[in-house]
Amino acid sequence: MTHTLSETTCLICEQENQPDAVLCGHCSAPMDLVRETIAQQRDARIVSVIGESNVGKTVFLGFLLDMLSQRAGDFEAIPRGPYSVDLQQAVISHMAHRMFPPKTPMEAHEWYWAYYHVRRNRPGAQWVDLVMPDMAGESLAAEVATPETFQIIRNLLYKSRGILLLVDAAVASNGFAQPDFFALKMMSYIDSMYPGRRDKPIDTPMAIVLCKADYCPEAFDDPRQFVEANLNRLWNICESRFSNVEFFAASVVGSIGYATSVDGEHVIPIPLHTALRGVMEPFEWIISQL
Amino acid sequence: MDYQSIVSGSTAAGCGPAECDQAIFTSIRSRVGQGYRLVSASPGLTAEEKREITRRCPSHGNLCADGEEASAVSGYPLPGGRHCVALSRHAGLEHTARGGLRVHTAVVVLDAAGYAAFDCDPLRVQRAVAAFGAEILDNPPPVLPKLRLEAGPQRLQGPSEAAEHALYLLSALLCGRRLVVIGAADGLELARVLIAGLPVCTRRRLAVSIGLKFAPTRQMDLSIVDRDEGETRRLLRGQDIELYDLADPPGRAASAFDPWISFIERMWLRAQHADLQALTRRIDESAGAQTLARITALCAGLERLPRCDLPELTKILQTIGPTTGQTQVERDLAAAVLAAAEERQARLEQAPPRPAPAPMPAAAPAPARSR
Repeated sequence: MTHTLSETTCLICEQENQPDAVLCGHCSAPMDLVRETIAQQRDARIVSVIGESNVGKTVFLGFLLDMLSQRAGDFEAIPRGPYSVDLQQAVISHMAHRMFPPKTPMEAHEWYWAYYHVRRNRPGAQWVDLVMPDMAGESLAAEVATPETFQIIRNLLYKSRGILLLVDAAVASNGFAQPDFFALKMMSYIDSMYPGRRDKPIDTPMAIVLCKADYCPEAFDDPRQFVEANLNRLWNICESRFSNVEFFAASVVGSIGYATSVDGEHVIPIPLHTALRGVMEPFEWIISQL
Repeated sequence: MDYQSIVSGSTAAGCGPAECDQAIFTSIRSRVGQGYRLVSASPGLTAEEKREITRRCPSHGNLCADGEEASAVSGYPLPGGRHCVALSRHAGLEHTARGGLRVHTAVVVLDAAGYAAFDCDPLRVQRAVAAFGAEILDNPPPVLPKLRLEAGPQRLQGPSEAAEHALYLLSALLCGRRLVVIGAADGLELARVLIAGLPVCTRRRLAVSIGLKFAPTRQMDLSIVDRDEGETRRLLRGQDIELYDLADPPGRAASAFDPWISFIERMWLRAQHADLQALTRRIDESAGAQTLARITALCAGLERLPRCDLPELTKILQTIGPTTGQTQVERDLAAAVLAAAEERQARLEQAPPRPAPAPMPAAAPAPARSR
């Protein structure tokens, strides 16, 4: 381990807590994270999945973790602690009943956290400890709009060894600029976390994942070209300020139906079946960069 | 004892309408974004205030009750000295329709004088906002006008549930302990009683929520939640926050605030709620244990003076020590004690001397003993 951790020091904000604390009293991150890290005697690497509200972070991460648990992509993955399985269980259970999982609350103590040992099933492959939080999109947006609103987000992003930025390709392909603006703000926020490095681009591995690409299959053919054409602001800041970026397209839902609420005022999307595509690839790339 | 005439000075309480900034925190889809955020605000809100409000407002699934009629109230100080009172309600399905009801929070922000007009009582502000009758809009305008709120009459009544709960909680709040209270039949009523027993300077810095699920990030001093299925207890482990279960309360340990707590209890028993309101409204400089103990001693002296004898009068006057008079309310009470003591002393000195008791009749000689 690169530095000595104590069981009372939060892994995320490094503030001190009482020995029996379940949550960090300062940032609400689970104290089990630091206890697991100490038990494994390995530095845990934080991989953050970020994106706007309703882009599909919970579903993406839930399916990714479930695929890892089932040894997809030649990975072997072991969850540390039952809490690490909560997210994938919630996502799979809801999708099996043709429902999207509930909205992730902004309150940090209600976020899902996954702590996994992961390694490639190859000779000589090393175990990597990954911490992957499922953050609320609104909390990310609030932090980007007014920094230090949610210090836990700043700490998580600063400590992230890899970041998956999910972008709504379906909305972008219809000509709406909102996903591009959010992605630009997000990248700009990450850039601003390193004030002393204005002359050097950020080298943290960034996987730009075009979600809901089943609506725009051309995103699968050439994600780079799709971003350059439909998310040009994002493309430009990636070129200027980030040296280690890769672009991917992903889709989870095979087909979707629509129902209306009892009062007829709301349209409710119904995932009829799942057809995972492109979920492992961004993760494989991030792992290869760690 | 008529404290209302004793404690002098004008207060802002009840002095005309208070002008407030307002804001709405909820989840709607608009041209510039979607999800829970401040969707509307009046221009006077600062960036720091917006940040604090965003941190503390409830998002999806954070009202204690599940139904359409669920509501919650919270009040807390803001950076820069102003105060926020927020009323949260369910408002139909959230636009992504992923289960659960949309939480709509209407926020008002008052400056120090405006909050004092409501006796620094967030529940009085909440009633004024409710009386205003603002409806929940699906698409509120991005800019809201200021509100003018009028403080209505305050219901003056002691605790409806067992008073020992309220006395314990008051003592804990005065000692600066943070509390989560579960099991109250009427959380708003319990909060009303507690706020009424606190000096106004303590109320001013108090962060309180009623009807919101406990969340560490909300940083409340007092959270009154409906019930707990174990999750709240789990979250509180290792935190400097005390869980008070009305169904299984701990015993009250002695504290430096015991004289004040006993005084509150006596005021409740005698239904002297208006006098208590007048007194707590004027304790706006310091509410430390020693200050409250001195105030309690002065009040006790005032109550005993009309019936006391000279030795007791002297003892009462000794309560006005050199440290009394540090706050305005102490000076007012001390002046009242002095005036009442003078009046009592004069009355005692003018009283006709008590007649000497009549001599006892001489005892009959004892009969001689026969040998």
